Amino acid sequence: MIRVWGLLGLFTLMFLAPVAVLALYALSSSWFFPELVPARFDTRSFSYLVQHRLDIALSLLSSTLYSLAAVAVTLIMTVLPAKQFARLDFYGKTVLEGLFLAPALIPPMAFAMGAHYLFLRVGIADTGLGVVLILSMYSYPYMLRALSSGYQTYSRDIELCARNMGASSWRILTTIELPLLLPAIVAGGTIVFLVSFSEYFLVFLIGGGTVPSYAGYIFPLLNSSDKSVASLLTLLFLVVPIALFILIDRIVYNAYRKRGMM
Amino acid sequence: MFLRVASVSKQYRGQKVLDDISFPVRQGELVSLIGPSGAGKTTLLKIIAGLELPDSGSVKSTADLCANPAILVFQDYLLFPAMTVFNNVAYGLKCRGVKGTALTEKVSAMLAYFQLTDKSRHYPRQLSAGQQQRVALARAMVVNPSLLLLDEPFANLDRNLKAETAEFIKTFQKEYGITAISVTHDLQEAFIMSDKIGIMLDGRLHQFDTVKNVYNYPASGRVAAFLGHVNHIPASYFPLLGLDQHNGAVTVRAEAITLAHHENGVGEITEVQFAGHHVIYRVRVKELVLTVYSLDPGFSREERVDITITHTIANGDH
Repeated sequence: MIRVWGLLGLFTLMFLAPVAVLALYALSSSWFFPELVPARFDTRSFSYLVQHRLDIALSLLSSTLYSLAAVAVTLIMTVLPAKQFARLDFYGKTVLEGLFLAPALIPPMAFAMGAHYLFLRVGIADTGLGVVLILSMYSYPYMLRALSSGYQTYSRDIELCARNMGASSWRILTTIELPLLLPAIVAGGTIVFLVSFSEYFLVFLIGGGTVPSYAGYIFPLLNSSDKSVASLLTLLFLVVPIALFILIDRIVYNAYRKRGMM
Repeated sequence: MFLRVASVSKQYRGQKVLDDISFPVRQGELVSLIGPSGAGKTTLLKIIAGLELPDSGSVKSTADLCANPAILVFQDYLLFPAMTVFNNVAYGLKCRGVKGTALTEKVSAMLAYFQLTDKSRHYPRQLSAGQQQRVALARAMVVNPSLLLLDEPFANLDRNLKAETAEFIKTFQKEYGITAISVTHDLQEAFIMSDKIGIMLDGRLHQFDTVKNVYNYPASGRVAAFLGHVNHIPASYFPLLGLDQHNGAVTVRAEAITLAHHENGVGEITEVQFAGHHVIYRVRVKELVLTVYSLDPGFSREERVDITITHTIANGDH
Protein backbone atom coordinates (compact mmCIF):
# COMPACT_ATOMS: atom_id res chain seq x y z
CA MET A 1 0.00 0.00 0.00
CA ILE A 2 2.82 2.36 0.91
CA ARG A 3 4.46 1.52 -2.41
CA VAL A 4 1.27 2.36 -4.30
CA TRP A 5 0.96 5.74 -2.56
CA GLY A 6 4.65 6.37 -3.08
CA LEU A 7 4.35 5.71 -6.82
CA LEU A 8 1.22 7.81 -7.02
CA GLY A 9 3.04 10.65 -5.27
CA LEU A 10 5.98 10.33 -7.65
CA PHE A 11 3.76 10.44 -10.72
CA THR A 12 1.83 13.40 -9.36
CA LEU A 13 5.08 15.21 -8.81
CA MET A 14 6.33 14.33 -12.30
CA PHE A 15 3.17 15.22 -14.23
CA LEU A 16 1.26 17.73 -12.13
CA ALA A 17 4.10 19.74 -10.62
CA PRO A 18 5.12 21.26 -13.99
CA VAL A 19 1.47 22.14 -14.63
CA ALA A 20 1.29 23.76 -11.21
CA VAL A 21 4.40 25.78 -12.00
CA LEU A 22 2.81 26.95 -15.26
CA ALA A 23 -0.36 27.90 -13.41
CA LEU A 24 1.66 29.93 -10.91
CA TYR A 25 3.54 31.64 -13.74
CA ALA A 26 0.25 32.45 -15.46
CA LEU A 27 -1.02 34.21 -12.34
CA SER A 28 2.17 36.04 -11.44
CA SER A 29 3.42 39.37 -12.68
CA SER A 30 6.96 38.58 -11.57
CA TRP A 31 8.64 35.47 -10.25
CA PHE A 32 12.39 35.44 -9.91
CA PHE A 33 15.00 33.36 -8.14
CA PRO A 34 15.19 32.83 -5.15
CA GLU A 35 11.45 33.37 -4.51
CA LEU A 36 9.72 30.07 -3.74
CA VAL A 37 6.37 31.44 -4.85
CA PRO A 38 5.74 34.53 -6.99
CA ALA A 39 6.08 37.84 -5.16
CA ARG A 40 3.09 39.39 -6.93
CA PHE A 41 -0.04 37.99 -8.52
CA ASP A 42 -2.24 39.62 -11.13
CA THR A 43 -4.59 38.69 -13.95
CA ARG A 44 -2.76 40.45 -16.74
CA SER A 45 -2.31 37.23 -18.73
CA PHE A 46 -6.06 36.62 -18.60
CA SER A 47 -6.67 40.11 -19.90
CA TYR A 48 -4.36 39.28 -22.81
CA LEU A 49 -6.35 36.09 -23.42
CA VAL A 50 -9.64 37.98 -23.50
CA GLN A 51 -8.21 40.72 -25.66
CA HIS A 52 -6.79 38.33 -28.27
CA ARG A 53 -9.53 35.73 -27.97
CA LEU A 54 -10.45 35.77 -31.66
CA ASP A 55 -6.89 35.18 -32.90
CA ILE A 56 -6.33 32.53 -30.27
CA ALA A 57 -9.63 30.79 -31.02
CA LEU A 58 -8.92 30.88 -34.76
CA SER A 59 -5.46 29.37 -34.39
CA LEU A 60 -6.74 26.72 -31.95
CA LEU A 61 -9.59 25.83 -34.31
CA SER A 62 -7.27 25.72 -37.30
CA SER A 63 -4.78 23.47 -35.48
CA THR A 64 -7.58 21.19 -34.29
CA LEU A 65 -9.10 20.90 -37.76
CA TYR A 66 -5.90 20.17 -39.68
CA SER A 67 -4.81 17.71 -36.98
CA LEU A 68 -8.16 15.87 -37.20
CA ALA A 69 -7.84 15.91 -41.00
CA ALA A 70 -4.36 14.41 -40.67
CA VAL A 71 -5.86 11.62 -38.53
CA ALA A 72 -8.44 10.91 -41.25
CA VAL A 73 -5.85 10.99 -44.05
CA THR A 74 -3.40 8.72 -42.22
CA LEU A 75 -6.24 6.29 -41.51
CA ILE A 76 -7.13 6.12 -45.21
CA MET A 77 -3.44 5.89 -46.17
CA THR A 78 -2.56 3.04 -43.85
CA VAL A 79 -5.63 0.83 -43.43
CA LEU A 80 -4.81 -1.42 -46.40
CA PRO A 81 -1.01 -1.59 -45.94
CA ALA A 82 -1.56 -2.33 -42.24
CA LYS A 83 -3.84 -5.23 -43.16
CA GLN A 84 -1.28 -6.67 -45.55
CA PHE A 85 1.51 -6.38 -42.98
CA ALA A 86 -0.65 -8.06 -40.35
CA ARG A 87 -2.04 -10.83 -42.54
CA LEU A 88 0.63 -11.69 -45.07
CA ASP A 89 4.02 -13.25 -44.72
CA PHE A 90 6.31 -12.39 -47.58
CA TYR A 91 9.98 -12.12 -48.40
CA GLY A 92 11.47 -8.81 -47.24
CA LYS A 93 8.48 -7.95 -45.05
CA THR A 94 10.57 -6.72 -42.12
CA VAL A 95 12.68 -4.47 -44.36
CA LEU A 96 9.58 -3.03 -45.98
CA GLU A 97 7.96 -2.44 -42.59
CA GLY A 98 11.12 -0.64 -41.48
CA LEU A 99 11.08 1.54 -44.59
CA PHE A 100 7.45 2.43 -43.95
CA LEU A 101 8.44 3.78 -40.53
CA ALA A 102 11.13 6.05 -42.02
CA PRO A 103 9.20 9.37 -41.83
CA ALA A 104 9.02 9.07 -38.06
CA LEU A 105 12.74 8.37 -37.85
CA ILE A 106 14.17 10.91 -40.32
CA PRO A 107 14.22 14.57 -39.20
CA PRO A 108 11.27 16.35 -40.88
CA MET A 109 13.62 19.02 -42.15
CA ALA A 110 15.21 16.39 -44.41
CA PHE A 111 12.14 15.70 -46.48
CA ALA A 112 10.09 18.85 -45.86
CA MET A 113 12.30 20.96 -48.14
CA GLY A 114 11.81 18.57 -51.02
CA ALA A 115 8.12 18.30 -50.28
CA HIS A 116 7.84 22.09 -50.15
CA TYR A 117 9.37 22.40 -53.63
CA LEU A 118 6.94 19.77 -54.94
CA PHE A 119 3.97 21.42 -53.22
CA LEU A 120 4.92 24.79 -54.73
CA ARG A 121 4.93 23.24 -58.22
CA VAL A 122 1.52 21.59 -57.84
CA GLY A 123 0.14 24.69 -56.11
CA ILE A 124 -0.70 23.33 -52.69
CA ALA A 125 2.00 25.14 -50.75
CA ASP A 126 0.55 27.77 -48.39
CA THR A 127 -2.77 25.89 -48.25
CA GLY A 128 -4.55 23.87 -45.58
CA LEU A 129 -4.45 20.85 -47.90
CA GLY A 130 -0.67 21.10 -48.12
CA VAL A 131 -0.40 21.27 -44.32
CA VAL A 132 -2.65 18.23 -43.88
CA LEU A 133 -0.67 16.23 -46.44
CA ILE A 134 2.76 17.08 -45.01
CA LEU A 135 1.56 16.28 -41.46
CA SER A 136 0.09 12.99 -42.71
CA MET A 137 3.35 12.09 -44.45
CA TYR A 138 5.20 12.78 -41.23
CA SER A 139 2.90 11.04 -38.77
CA TYR A 140 1.37 8.06 -40.63
CA PRO A 141 3.87 5.52 -39.17
CA TYR A 142 2.11 5.81 -35.80
CA MET A 143 -1.24 4.99 -37.40
CA LEU A 144 0.31 2.18 -39.46
CA ARG A 145 1.80 0.51 -36.38
CA ALA A 146 -1.41 0.83 -34.38
CA LEU A 147 -3.62 -0.55 -37.16
CA SER A 148 -1.23 -3.37 -37.93
CA SER A 149 -1.41 -4.44 -34.26
CA GLY A 150 -5.19 -3.96 -34.38
CA TYR A 151 -5.52 -6.35 -37.29
CA GLN A 152 -3.53 -8.95 -35.38
CA THR A 153 -6.03 -8.95 -32.53
CA TYR A 154 -8.75 -10.78 -34.45
CA SER A 155 -8.93 -13.73 -36.79
CA ARG A 156 -9.09 -13.39 -40.55
CA ASP A 157 -11.94 -15.90 -40.42
CA ILE A 158 -14.42 -13.19 -39.41
CA GLU A 159 -13.77 -11.49 -42.76
CA LEU A 160 -14.12 -14.83 -44.54
CA CYS A 161 -17.39 -15.32 -42.68
CA ALA A 162 -18.72 -11.93 -43.86
CA ARG A 163 -17.54 -12.65 -47.41
CA ASN A 164 -19.33 -15.98 -47.25
CA MET A 165 -22.51 -14.11 -46.27
CA GLY A 166 -22.15 -12.15 -49.52
CA ALA A 167 -20.48 -8.96 -48.28
CA SER A 168 -18.35 -6.86 -50.63
CA SER A 169 -14.85 -5.78 -49.59
CA TRP A 170 -16.14 -2.27 -48.90
CA ARG A 171 -18.97 -3.56 -46.71
CA ILE A 172 -16.54 -5.83 -44.83
CA LEU A 173 -14.24 -2.85 -44.22
CA THR A 174 -16.97 -0.53 -42.99
CA THR A 175 -19.19 -2.93 -41.06
CA ILE A 176 -16.76 -5.53 -39.71
CA GLU A 177 -13.17 -4.33 -39.77
CA LEU A 178 -13.45 -0.68 -38.72
CA PRO A 179 -15.61 -1.38 -35.63
CA LEU A 180 -13.11 -4.05 -34.55
CA LEU A 181 -10.19 -1.71 -35.27
CA LEU A 182 -11.69 1.18 -33.32
CA PRO A 183 -9.41 0.87 -30.27
CA ALA A 184 -6.38 0.74 -32.60
CA ILE A 185 -7.68 3.73 -34.57
CA VAL A 186 -8.11 5.69 -31.33
CA ALA A 187 -4.60 4.72 -30.20
CA GLY A 188 -2.94 5.62 -33.51
CA GLY A 189 -5.16 8.64 -34.09
CA THR A 190 -4.29 10.07 -30.69
CA ILE A 191 -0.59 10.10 -31.49
CA VAL A 192 -1.13 11.42 -35.02
CA PHE A 193 -3.30 14.18 -33.55
CA LEU A 194 -0.76 15.11 -30.90
CA VAL A 195 2.16 15.10 -33.31
CA SER A 196 0.21 17.25 -35.78
CA PHE A 197 -1.23 19.58 -33.16
CA SER A 198 2.15 20.34 -31.64
CA GLU A 199 4.10 20.50 -34.91
CA TYR A 200 5.52 23.97 -35.50
CA PHE A 201 8.11 23.77 -38.24
CA LEU A 202 6.21 21.78 -40.90
CA VAL A 203 3.09 23.92 -40.56
CA PHE A 204 5.16 27.08 -40.71
CA LEU A 205 7.08 25.92 -43.80
CA ILE A 206 4.25 24.43 -45.85
CA GLY A 207 1.51 26.72 -44.52
CA GLY A 208 3.69 29.71 -45.26
CA GLY A 209 2.04 31.73 -42.54
CA THR A 210 -1.37 31.62 -44.24
CA VAL A 211 -2.57 28.58 -42.31
CA PRO A 212 -3.02 29.65 -38.68
CA SER A 213 -1.63 27.26 -36.11
CA TYR A 214 -1.64 27.45 -32.35
CA ALA A 215 1.97 26.30 -32.11
CA GLY A 216 2.86 29.09 -34.52
CA TYR A 217 0.84 31.56 -32.48
CA ILE A 218 2.51 30.88 -29.16
CA PHE A 219 6.03 30.34 -30.50
CA PRO A 220 7.03 34.06 -30.46
CA LEU A 221 5.48 34.43 -27.00
CA LEU A 222 7.53 31.50 -25.67
CA ASN A 223 10.65 33.24 -26.93
CA SER A 224 9.69 36.56 -25.35
CA SER A 225 10.30 37.50 -21.75
CA ASP A 226 6.57 37.52 -20.94
CA LYS A 227 6.42 34.19 -19.14
CA SER A 228 3.01 34.90 -17.67
CA VAL A 229 1.15 35.00 -21.01
CA ALA A 230 3.29 32.20 -22.46
CA SER A 231 2.41 29.96 -19.49
CA LEU A 232 -1.29 30.61 -19.74
CA LEU A 233 -1.32 29.88 -23.46
CA THR A 234 0.71 26.71 -22.87
CA LEU A 235 -1.90 25.57 -20.37
CA LEU A 236 -4.54 26.26 -23.00
CA PHE A 237 -2.45 24.15 -25.39
CA LEU A 238 -3.05 21.19 -23.07
CA VAL A 239 -6.79 21.70 -22.86
CA VAL A 240 -7.73 20.76 -26.43
CA PRO A 241 -6.02 17.35 -26.66
CA ILE A 242 -7.02 16.39 -23.12
CA ALA A 243 -10.66 17.35 -23.72
CA LEU A 244 -10.62 15.42 -26.98
CA PHE A 245 -9.08 12.35 -25.30
CA ILE A 246 -11.69 12.31 -22.60
CA LEU A 247 -14.51 12.72 -25.10
CA ILE A 248 -13.33 9.98 -27.47
CA ASP A 249 -12.36 7.66 -24.68
CA ARG A 250 -15.84 7.94 -23.15
CA ILE A 251 -17.57 7.37 -26.49
CA VAL A 252 -15.46 4.35 -27.46
CA TYR A 253 -15.48 2.94 -23.95
CA ASN A 254 -19.26 3.23 -23.68
CA ALA A 255 -19.83 1.73 -27.12
CA TYR A 256 -17.56 -1.21 -26.34
CA ARG A 257 -18.91 -1.76 -22.84
CA LYS A 258 -22.48 -1.76 -24.13
CA ARG A 259 -21.51 -4.53 -26.55
CA GLY A 260 -19.57 -6.45 -23.92
CA MET A 261 -16.42 -6.10 -26.02
CA MET A 262 -14.21 -4.99 -23.14
CA MET B 1 -26.32 -36.01 -57.24
CA PHE B 2 -26.66 -32.68 -55.41
CA LEU B 3 -23.01 -32.19 -54.61
CA ARG B 4 -19.90 -34.08 -55.56
CA VAL B 5 -16.52 -33.54 -53.99
CA ALA B 6 -14.05 -35.08 -56.43
CA SER B 7 -10.39 -35.85 -55.68
CA VAL B 8 -9.83 -32.73 -53.60
CA SER B 9 -6.25 -32.32 -52.35
CA LYS B 10 -4.64 -29.47 -50.45
CA GLN B 11 -1.20 -28.86 -49.00
CA TYR B 12 -0.04 -26.39 -46.38
CA ARG B 13 3.67 -25.68 -46.21
CA GLY B 14 4.54 -28.97 -47.82
CA GLN B 15 2.21 -31.01 -45.64
CA LYS B 16 -0.80 -32.71 -47.16
CA VAL B 17 -3.88 -31.77 -45.13
CA LEU B 18 -6.35 -33.15 -47.68
CA ASP B 19 -5.41 -36.15 -49.79
CA ASP B 20 -7.67 -37.13 -52.68
CA ILE B 21 -11.01 -36.62 -50.92
CA SER B 22 -14.09 -37.73 -52.86
CA PHE B 23 -17.69 -38.21 -51.74
CA PRO B 24 -21.19 -37.50 -53.00
CA VAL B 25 -24.00 -35.73 -51.12
CA ARG B 26 -27.67 -36.18 -51.98
CA GLN B 27 -30.20 -33.39 -51.68
CA GLY B 28 -31.57 -33.05 -48.14
CA GLU B 29 -28.93 -35.29 -46.61
CA LEU B 30 -26.93 -34.50 -43.50
CA VAL B 31 -23.40 -35.76 -43.89
CA SER B 32 -20.83 -35.71 -41.09
CA LEU B 33 -17.11 -36.00 -41.61
CA ILE B 34 -15.53 -37.28 -38.45
CA GLY B 35 -11.89 -37.25 -37.56
CA PRO B 36 -9.44 -36.13 -34.95
CA SER B 37 -8.53 -32.44 -34.71
CA GLY B 38 -6.08 -31.28 -37.32
CA ALA B 39 -7.27 -33.75 -39.95
CA GLY B 40 -7.94 -30.97 -42.46
CA LYS B 41 -11.70 -31.01 -41.95
CA THR B 42 -12.14 -27.24 -41.64
CA THR B 43 -10.05 -26.69 -44.75
CA LEU B 44 -12.35 -29.04 -46.64
CA LEU B 45 -15.41 -27.04 -45.54
CA LYS B 46 -13.76 -23.78 -46.63
CA ILE B 47 -13.05 -25.34 -50.02
CA ILE B 48 -16.67 -26.49 -50.37
CA ALA B 49 -17.84 -22.99 -49.35
CA GLY B 50 -15.59 -21.50 -52.04
CA LEU B 51 -13.53 -19.58 -49.47
CA GLU B 52 -10.36 -21.48 -50.37
CA LEU B 53 -9.18 -23.20 -53.52
CA PRO B 54 -8.02 -26.80 -53.61
CA ASP B 55 -4.60 -27.62 -55.09
CA SER B 56 -6.34 -30.21 -57.23
CA GLY B 57 -9.79 -31.74 -57.55
CA SER B 58 -13.16 -30.04 -57.68
CA VAL B 59 -16.46 -29.44 -55.93
CA LYS B 60 -19.47 -29.64 -58.24
CA SER B 61 -23.09 -28.98 -57.43
CA THR B 62 -26.35 -29.03 -59.30
CA ALA B 63 -27.53 -26.09 -57.17
CA ASP B 64 -27.12 -22.48 -58.26
CA LEU B 65 -24.43 -21.55 -55.77
CA CYS B 66 -24.53 -17.88 -56.84
CA ALA B 67 -28.19 -17.39 -55.96
CA ASN B 68 -28.16 -19.77 -53.00
CA PRO B 69 -24.62 -20.08 -51.72
CA ALA B 70 -23.09 -22.65 -49.42
CA ILE B 71 -22.90 -20.96 -46.01
CA LEU B 72 -20.29 -21.98 -43.49
CA VAL B 73 -21.05 -21.77 -39.76
CA PHE B 74 -17.62 -21.45 -38.16
CA GLN B 75 -16.56 -23.31 -35.05
CA ASP B 76 -16.34 -20.13 -32.95
CA TYR B 77 -19.55 -18.87 -34.64
CA LEU B 78 -17.74 -15.60 -35.48
CA LEU B 79 -20.73 -13.43 -34.72
CA PHE B 80 -20.02 -9.79 -35.50
CA PRO B 81 -19.39 -8.41 -32.00
CA ALA B 82 -20.35 -4.80 -32.70
CA MET B 83 -23.80 -5.75 -34.02
CA THR B 84 -26.95 -6.80 -32.21
CA VAL B 85 -28.38 -10.28 -32.70
CA PHE B 86 -30.94 -8.78 -35.10
CA ASN B 87 -28.28 -7.10 -37.21
CA ASN B 88 -26.13 -10.21 -37.21
CA VAL B 89 -29.00 -12.25 -38.60
CA ALA B 90 -29.91 -9.44 -41.03
CA TYR B 91 -26.34 -9.15 -42.35
CA GLY B 92 -26.58 -11.58 -45.27
CA LEU B 93 -29.91 -10.09 -46.37
CA LYS B 94 -28.52 -6.54 -46.27
CA CYS B 95 -25.62 -7.73 -48.43
CA ARG B 96 -28.27 -8.84 -50.95
CA GLY B 97 -30.01 -5.46 -50.88
CA VAL B 98 -33.06 -6.58 -48.87
CA LYS B 99 -34.48 -3.61 -46.97
CA GLY B 100 -37.39 -2.30 -44.94
CA THR B 101 -40.29 -4.50 -43.91
CA ALA B 102 -39.14 -7.44 -46.06
CA LEU B 103 -35.89 -7.46 -44.06
CA THR B 104 -37.61 -7.13 -40.69
CA GLU B 105 -40.12 -9.86 -41.50
CA LYS B 106 -37.53 -12.38 -42.67
CA VAL B 107 -35.20 -11.74 -39.76
CA SER B 108 -38.01 -11.82 -37.20
CA ALA B 109 -39.29 -15.12 -38.58
CA MET B 110 -35.82 -16.62 -38.34
CA LEU B 111 -35.30 -15.29 -34.80
CA ALA B 112 -38.64 -16.78 -33.79
CA TYR B 113 -37.76 -20.19 -35.24
CA PHE B 114 -34.44 -20.24 -33.40
CA GLN B 115 -36.08 -18.96 -30.17
CA LEU B 116 -34.10 -15.76 -30.17
CA THR B 117 -36.88 -13.15 -30.38
CA ASP B 118 -36.24 -11.83 -26.87
CA LYS B 119 -32.51 -11.63 -27.58
CA SER B 120 -32.78 -9.58 -30.77
CA ARG B 121 -31.37 -6.41 -29.18
CA HIS B 122 -28.61 -8.21 -27.29
CA TYR B 123 -24.99 -8.23 -28.40
CA PRO B 124 -23.15 -11.52 -29.07
CA ARG B 125 -20.94 -11.31 -25.96
CA GLN B 126 -24.07 -11.19 -23.80
CA LEU B 127 -25.23 -14.62 -24.99
CA SER B 128 -24.41 -18.16 -23.87
CA ALA B 129 -22.52 -20.48 -26.22
CA GLY B 130 -25.74 -22.27 -27.15
CA GLN B 131 -27.51 -19.01 -27.95
CA GLN B 132 -24.53 -17.78 -29.97
CA GLN B 133 -24.67 -20.96 -31.99
CA ARG B 134 -28.36 -20.46 -32.70
CA VAL B 135 -27.65 -16.90 -33.85
CA ALA B 136 -24.96 -18.25 -36.17
CA LEU B 137 -27.37 -20.85 -37.55
CA ALA B 138 -30.14 -18.25 -37.99
CA ARG B 139 -27.68 -15.89 -39.71
CA ALA B 140 -26.75 -18.68 -42.12
CA MET B 141 -30.30 -19.95 -42.75
CA VAL B 142 -31.85 -16.52 -43.42
CA VAL B 143 -30.18 -16.22 -46.82
CA ASN B 144 -31.77 -19.50 -47.91
CA PRO B 145 -28.51 -21.32 -48.57
CA SER B 146 -28.36 -24.33 -50.87
CA LEU B 147 -25.93 -26.00 -48.54
CA LEU B 148 -25.20 -25.55 -44.84
CA LEU B 149 -21.66 -26.27 -43.69
CA LEU B 150 -21.11 -26.77 -39.96
CA ASP B 151 -17.60 -26.63 -38.53
CA GLU B 152 -17.36 -28.49 -35.21
CA PRO B 153 -20.94 -27.62 -34.15
CA PHE B 154 -20.48 -29.20 -30.72
CA ALA B 155 -16.97 -28.06 -29.83
CA ASN B 156 -17.94 -25.09 -27.65
CA LEU B 157 -20.94 -26.66 -25.92
CA ASP B 158 -21.32 -28.26 -22.52
CA ARG B 159 -21.52 -32.03 -22.48
CA ASN B 160 -25.27 -32.13 -21.74
CA LEU B 161 -26.04 -29.58 -24.45
CA LYS B 162 -24.27 -31.54 -27.19
CA ALA B 163 -26.83 -34.30 -27.71
CA GLU B 164 -29.67 -31.79 -27.47
CA THR B 165 -28.01 -29.64 -30.14
CA ALA B 166 -27.45 -32.66 -32.37
CA GLU B 167 -31.18 -33.41 -32.23
CA PHE B 168 -32.03 -29.75 -32.81
CA ILE B 169 -29.77 -29.57 -35.88
CA LYS B 170 -31.27 -32.76 -37.26
CA THR B 171 -34.81 -31.45 -36.68
CA PHE B 172 -34.37 -28.10 -38.33
CA GLN B 173 -32.28 -29.58 -41.11
CA LYS B 174 -35.12 -31.97 -41.98
CA GLU B 175 -37.81 -29.29 -41.54
CA TYR B 176 -36.04 -26.89 -43.89
CA GLY B 177 -35.02 -29.75 -46.15
CA ILE B 178 -31.56 -28.26 -46.38
CA THR B 179 -28.54 -30.27 -47.38
CA ALA B 180 -25.83 -30.06 -44.73
CA ILE B 181 -22.26 -31.16 -44.20
CA SER B 182 -20.76 -31.06 -40.75
CA VAL B 183 -17.26 -31.82 -39.58
CA THR B 184 -16.74 -32.89 -36.00
CA HIS B 185 -14.76 -35.07 -33.66
CA ASP B 186 -17.80 -35.72 -31.47
CA LEU B 187 -18.75 -39.26 -32.48
CA GLN B 188 -21.99 -39.70 -30.59
CA GLU B 189 -23.50 -36.43 -31.76
CA ALA B 190 -22.51 -37.15 -35.34
CA PHE B 191 -24.19 -40.56 -35.06
CA ILE B 192 -27.37 -39.00 -33.68
CA MET B 193 -27.87 -36.48 -36.45
CA SER B 194 -26.24 -37.83 -39.59
CA ASP B 195 -27.56 -39.74 -42.58
CA LYS B 196 -24.07 -40.51 -43.83
CA ILE B 197 -20.70 -40.47 -42.18
CA GLY B 198 -17.19 -40.12 -43.49
CA ILE B 199 -14.17 -41.04 -41.42
CA MET B 200 -11.19 -38.77 -42.03
CA LEU B 201 -7.79 -39.76 -40.71
CA ASP B 202 -4.52 -38.04 -41.70
CA GLY B 203 -6.21 -36.00 -44.42
CA ARG B 204 -7.69 -39.05 -46.15
CA LEU B 205 -11.31 -40.16 -46.26
CA HIS B 206 -11.08 -43.77 -45.09
CA GLN B 207 -14.75 -44.67 -45.30
CA PHE B 208 -17.96 -42.99 -46.40
CA ASP B 209 -21.25 -44.76 -45.76
CA THR B 210 -24.42 -44.80 -43.66
CA VAL B 211 -23.98 -44.50 -39.92
CA LYS B 212 -24.83 -48.15 -39.26
CA ASN B 213 -22.60 -49.47 -41.98
CA VAL B 214 -19.62 -47.44 -40.85
CA TYR B 215 -20.10 -48.63 -37.28
CA ASN B 216 -20.80 -52.26 -38.06
CA TYR B 217 -18.65 -52.73 -41.14
CA PRO B 218 -15.63 -50.48 -40.68
CA ALA B 219 -13.39 -50.42 -43.73
CA SER B 220 -10.23 -50.96 -41.74
CA GLY B 221 -8.88 -51.70 -38.31
CA ARG B 222 -8.00 -48.00 -37.92
CA VAL B 223 -11.55 -46.92 -38.69
CA ALA B 224 -12.91 -49.53 -36.28
CA ALA B 225 -10.53 -48.39 -33.54
CA PHE B 226 -11.35 -44.72 -34.16
CA LEU B 227 -15.04 -45.38 -33.58
CA GLY B 228 -14.55 -47.12 -30.24
CA HIS B 229 -12.45 -49.69 -28.46
CA VAL B 230 -12.07 -52.98 -30.33
CA ASN B 231 -10.68 -56.39 -29.41
CA HIS B 232 -8.80 -58.46 -31.97
CA ILE B 233 -9.41 -62.16 -31.38
CA PRO B 234 -7.09 -64.70 -33.11
CA ALA B 235 -8.65 -67.84 -34.67
CA SER B 236 -7.15 -70.09 -32.00
CA TYR B 237 -9.56 -68.64 -29.45
CA PHE B 238 -12.69 -69.20 -31.54
CA PRO B 239 -13.66 -72.58 -29.96
CA LEU B 240 -13.16 -71.24 -26.43
CA LEU B 241 -15.31 -68.18 -27.10
CA GLY B 242 -17.99 -70.00 -29.05
CA LEU B 243 -17.22 -68.40 -32.38
CA ASP B 244 -17.88 -70.57 -35.39
CA GLN B 245 -15.80 -68.71 -37.98
CA HIS B 246 -12.91 -70.71 -39.30
CA ASN B 247 -10.27 -68.43 -40.65
CA GLY B 248 -8.43 -65.23 -39.82
CA ALA B 249 -9.00 -63.11 -36.77
CA VAL B 250 -12.16 -61.26 -35.84
CA THR B 251 -12.67 -57.82 -34.43
CA VAL B 252 -15.15 -57.36 -31.63
CA ARG B 253 -16.26 -54.10 -30.05
CA ALA B 254 -15.91 -53.78 -26.31
CA GLU B 255 -19.67 -53.43 -25.92
CA ALA B 256 -20.39 -56.53 -28.07
CA ILE B 257 -19.19 -58.91 -25.35
CA THR B 258 -21.43 -59.97 -22.48
CA LEU B 259 -20.24 -61.52 -19.26
CA ALA B 260 -22.01 -64.02 -17.01
CA HIS B 261 -21.09 -65.24 -13.52
CA HIS B 262 -19.70 -68.77 -13.74
CA GLU B 263 -17.19 -70.26 -11.34
CA ASN B 264 -15.62 -72.37 -14.09
CA GLY B 265 -15.90 -69.70 -16.76
CA VAL B 266 -13.23 -69.26 -19.46
CA GLY B 267 -12.31 -65.76 -18.42
CA GLU B 268 -10.99 -64.07 -15.32
CA ILE B 269 -11.66 -60.44 -14.46
CA THR B 270 -8.32 -58.70 -13.94
CA GLU B 271 -9.39 -55.09 -13.75
CA VAL B 272 -12.58 -53.13 -13.02
CA GLN B 273 -12.97 -49.44 -13.91
CA PHE B 274 -16.12 -47.48 -13.18
CA ALA B 275 -16.80 -45.11 -16.11
CA GLY B 276 -20.17 -43.60 -15.19
CA HIS B 277 -22.81 -44.98 -17.53
CA HIS B 278 -20.84 -48.18 -18.05
CA VAL B 279 -18.15 -50.29 -16.39
CA ILE B 280 -14.91 -51.21 -18.14
CA TYR B 281 -13.69 -54.75 -17.41
CA ARG B 282 -10.46 -56.36 -18.51
CA VAL B 283 -10.96 -60.09 -18.86
CA ARG B 284 -8.11 -62.53 -19.36
CA VAL B 285 -8.71 -65.63 -21.43
CA LYS B 286 -5.46 -67.61 -21.40
CA GLU B 287 -2.95 -65.19 -23.00
CA LEU B 288 -5.60 -62.88 -24.43
CA VAL B 289 -6.88 -59.82 -22.58
CA LEU B 290 -10.29 -58.54 -23.69
CA THR B 291 -11.75 -55.15 -22.90
CA VAL B 292 -15.46 -55.29 -22.16
CA TYR B 293 -17.91 -52.42 -21.67
CA SER B 294 -20.83 -53.57 -19.55
CA LEU B 295 -23.83 -51.93 -17.95
CA ASP B 296 -23.68 -54.50 -15.14
CA PRO B 297 -21.42 -53.35 -12.30
CA GLY B 298 -21.83 -56.71 -10.49
CA PHE B 299 -18.51 -58.34 -11.40
CA SER B 300 -15.45 -58.14 -9.25
CA ARG B 301 -11.71 -58.74 -9.68
CA GLU B 302 -10.47 -62.35 -9.88
CA GLU B 303 -13.99 -63.56 -10.49
CA ARG B 304 -14.37 -66.16 -13.24
CA VAL B 305 -16.89 -65.43 -15.95
CA ASP B 306 -18.42 -66.91 -19.05
CA ILE B 307 -18.02 -64.87 -22.21
CA THR B 308 -20.55 -64.47 -25.02
CA ILE B 309 -19.73 -62.53 -28.14
CA THR B 310 -22.94 -61.02 -29.48
CA HIS B 311 -21.59 -59.36 -32.57
CA THR B 312 -18.41 -59.31 -34.61
CA ILE B 313 -17.27 -56.63 -36.99
CA ALA B 314 -16.67 -57.67 -40.54
CA ASN B 315 -13.59 -55.76 -41.39
CA GLY B 316 -11.53 -55.48 -44.47
CA ASP B 317 -7.83 -54.95 -44.23
CA HIS B 318 -5.70 -55.23 -41.13
